[in-house]
Amino acid sequence: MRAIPLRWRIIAALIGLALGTTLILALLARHFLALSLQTNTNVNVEMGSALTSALSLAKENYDAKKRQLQDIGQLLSAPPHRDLNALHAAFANAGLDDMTLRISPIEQIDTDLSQGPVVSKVENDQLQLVIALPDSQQALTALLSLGALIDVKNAVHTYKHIEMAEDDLHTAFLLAFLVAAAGVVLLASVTGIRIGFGITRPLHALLKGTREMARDNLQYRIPKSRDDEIGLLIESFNQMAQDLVENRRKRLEAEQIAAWREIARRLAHEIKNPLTPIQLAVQQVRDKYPGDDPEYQKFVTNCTEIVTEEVENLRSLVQEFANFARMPSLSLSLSDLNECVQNVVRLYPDARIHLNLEKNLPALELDIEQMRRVLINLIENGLDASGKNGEIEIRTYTSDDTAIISVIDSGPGVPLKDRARIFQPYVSTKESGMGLGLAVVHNIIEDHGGHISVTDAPAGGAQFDLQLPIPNRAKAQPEEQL
Amino acid sequence: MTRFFIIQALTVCTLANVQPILAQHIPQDSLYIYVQSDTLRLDATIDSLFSKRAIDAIETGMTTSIAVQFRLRTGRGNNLGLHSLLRRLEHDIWEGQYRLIRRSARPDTQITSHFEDIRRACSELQGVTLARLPLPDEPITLQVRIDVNPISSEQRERTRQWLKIIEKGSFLEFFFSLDRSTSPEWIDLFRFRPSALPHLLDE
Repeated sequence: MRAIPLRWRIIAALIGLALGTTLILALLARHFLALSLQTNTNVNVEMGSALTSALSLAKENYDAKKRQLQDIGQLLSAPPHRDLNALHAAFANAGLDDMTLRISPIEQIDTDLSQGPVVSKVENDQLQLVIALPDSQQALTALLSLGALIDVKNAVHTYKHIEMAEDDLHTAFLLAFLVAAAGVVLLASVTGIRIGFGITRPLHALLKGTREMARDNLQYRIPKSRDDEIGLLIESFNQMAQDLVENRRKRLEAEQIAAWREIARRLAHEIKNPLTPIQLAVQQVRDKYPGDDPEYQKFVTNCTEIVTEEVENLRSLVQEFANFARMPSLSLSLSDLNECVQNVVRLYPDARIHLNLEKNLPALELDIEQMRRVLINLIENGLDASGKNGEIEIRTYTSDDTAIISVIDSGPGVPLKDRARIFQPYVSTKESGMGLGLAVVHNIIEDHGGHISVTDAPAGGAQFDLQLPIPNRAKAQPEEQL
Repeated sequence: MTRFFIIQALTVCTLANVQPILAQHIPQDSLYIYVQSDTLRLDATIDSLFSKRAIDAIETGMTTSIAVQFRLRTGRGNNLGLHSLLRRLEHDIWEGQYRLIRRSARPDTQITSHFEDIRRACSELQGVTLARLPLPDEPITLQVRIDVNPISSEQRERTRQWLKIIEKGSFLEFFFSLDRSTSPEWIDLFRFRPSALPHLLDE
């Protein structure tokens, strides 16, 4: 059976986690809601009963106040006549302190007072007592507020309303919880999908990358879209791909060089062997001439000289081939590159060579003899390219973990089309020469773990940059000195 | 996952659509529709107009609105007439009096000390005008909608102040409201053809 993809497992795990948590919370909420309802019901029963009793008491209180007003009305409607202060005192004595009293002419009163005092409920929740004051043409209107009783009534009404809405309220709580829970689950699902895809998408890209590598597509790169650990993984993959390309290039170059060396070795061997017999044979032809014809003798001598000269040229060519074929392995030691440069430059006292050397250049792992060969090659090339009045500048400096030596000439520069193959053997832009010089330079620098490149110098001419690694122990030196 | 969301959505919809079961109804044997002069009229008795809870609320003095509405609809859904009986019942618990105020172009007030009088006045409907003739002679459905609401707007405000959790704009307000947003459903009461109705002679 095919395994479930990681992406879906991550999403399922996150959703399961959210659902599980929500389920636990739902059970807890349900339990607490039930507990709350049970408590609430008990409280409600007691509260309802208490409020009903309170309302009954309020009604009794209302009736009592009404009777009290009727009694005091009977009392005050009988002589003697009382002024307002005496009326207030009479109400106060009856325990009715918060009465509002007003005396007005009897003809302004709407109430029929022929039957005696009248007690009635009026607007604004007040009880009103109206009496005709004895021995006067005036009437007393007394108002008693029912504020506390009305409060009881309102409380009962509000309680009843809440009781009626209770079921809807519980349903609303449940719905609110369900919606919130659905929101949480939805959020968890979206987050799960985002995380799942976020993790597995780059893994898929890496998988595709490895497949491309397996198909020998070393140029394939994974776009880096993030800066976290996955981004670092992608970066490492791309770096690995780049290293593979570089290693392949170096291996191809090494194989090419080895092939060229083999050719050079065979050529040297095949050409060198007959050179000595040819030279001896020609000399014998010249020395053993028995005749005395001066014209012919002169002719033989000229021919012998030409052959000897060409044999010498061939010998030097063979020597060059032999040198290329027999490039010794490096003998590295910590050396001062600036000193090496200065020693080489001394060989050219008449040349216009300017030095611009970094004073604190660290010691490098160099094979001094080979490095001299490199410098001589580059200076010779530069002088050839620059002509009679040409100038050469040599700079040394450091950049990060690399020491760089630049040889800049004032010649015409290297055409762009030749730059890619100028370091290959038997490629030369000069009319003379076998094109082995820069190939040798390239090999030596690569053997040092460095890199050589050619560009146009800012002021014109060719600029050869040789990058050489700064060894760790050389970097540690300044700290040790401290 | 999809199934889970569907189930949740259905649950929410089902819970949201729960309608109160109406206790009030008009028995068929109490229903009498007739033509008098050029008017279609109705006599009926509403059974259980006041629920126990409503009576309980009225007895505590809660002002209650009573709405009984009739409408006539054709088979194609056209409304032929709407008649509303709107009343307001106030109970003065201190004086023990009920005041039934009819809200109409000519309001009148009935005052009584007996709730039974109120029940009778609200439940027993006599000569209710449904529509003026002529009506199309096709099957017509009489529908009724009854609403007894003991919660006045002042009371709603008082309760809202009490229940601070259901303030305007709160999350819970999405699912619960003290304001009644929906009216009771229309209920089919009777189907008839105008030509088949009895005619009552004018007194």
